Amino acid sequence: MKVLLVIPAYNEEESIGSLLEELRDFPEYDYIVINDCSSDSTENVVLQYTNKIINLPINLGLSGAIQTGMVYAKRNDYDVCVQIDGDGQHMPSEIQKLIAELENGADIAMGSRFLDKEQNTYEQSFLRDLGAKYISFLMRILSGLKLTDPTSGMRAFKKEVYAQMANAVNERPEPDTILYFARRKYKITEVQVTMRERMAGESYLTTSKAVKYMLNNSLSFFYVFVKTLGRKGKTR
Amino acid sequence: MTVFFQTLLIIFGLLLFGFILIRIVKSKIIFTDFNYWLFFILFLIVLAAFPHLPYFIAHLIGVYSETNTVFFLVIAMLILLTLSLSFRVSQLNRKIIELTQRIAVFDYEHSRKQD
Repeated sequence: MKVLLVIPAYNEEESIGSLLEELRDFPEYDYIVINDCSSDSTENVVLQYTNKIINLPINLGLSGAIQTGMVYAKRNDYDVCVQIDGDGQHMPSEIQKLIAELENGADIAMGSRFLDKEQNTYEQSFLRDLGAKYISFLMRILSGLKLTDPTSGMRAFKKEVYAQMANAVNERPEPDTILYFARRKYKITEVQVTMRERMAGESYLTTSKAVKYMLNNSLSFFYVFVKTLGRKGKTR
Repeated sequence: MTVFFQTLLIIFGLLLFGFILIRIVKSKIIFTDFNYWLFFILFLIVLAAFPHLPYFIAHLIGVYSETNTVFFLVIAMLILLTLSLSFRVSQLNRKIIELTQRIAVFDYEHSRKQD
């Protein structure tokens, strides 16, 4: 399978270097860094390692950045598109597990920190945990899909899925999109992956945004629910 | 409706019309975007010139005075406008995102070809 890693980066000058350094050990994956109009020297840091960097002329946010990677993947006919964070949380060595899931017939594979309770070493704040549990709950009652780590940013998509996300107005890399594909009967699986704590830089989702995040997700889940009423098949 | 209020409505409508005309003459705006405002001005003037109309509507919907009916109708028109503007902002936002992504991807592909 032809795999493209999409690495969105917004002001990640401190952590993107070590990720790209690690990726040198994985020449089997193509990757593309999406520089989301960073105001720091992210672009120069990336250029020290590779010239595979797409510079967005204006800041689009995480969703818009990942979507750019999907547009690029679609134009270059990749079989699989994997989103990983540019902050070093996600380890390239774990990507193989997601690819294996797709090879076994899944349409979307998600890296979960909490699937296997014994292997789990990751701690998250109470508010984040509550938010994740709430989203899992909504996901389960609306689609039957059980997710242990619904907000995980490490996801692999088959072409059929990411090609839809590349052009869509609302299908962004957020839990509501997972719900959308779950309700359309796409096969979504989770695999246990190890993640590191953030090395440096600013997270897109800080704890103070958690409540707003939950509210937004409730509303977008509602929209997805209405949008997918009576549309159970995979056809558009 | 008092004659004073009717006059006020007409003067306001005419001022609005003059303002829009000036903008169009100076080519500051695309005039098809302002068909709504021309309709709005016409609406104000018709309400003022034919007070039987708001009187009739007031009785129809059970509003005490026809002046209140005028306010009510104007607010309804403004809500419609806000809604359509909100839709357009959302669509424009999406277009900007798509254009940005295209520019960035083309730019990258172009620079790769040159290498």
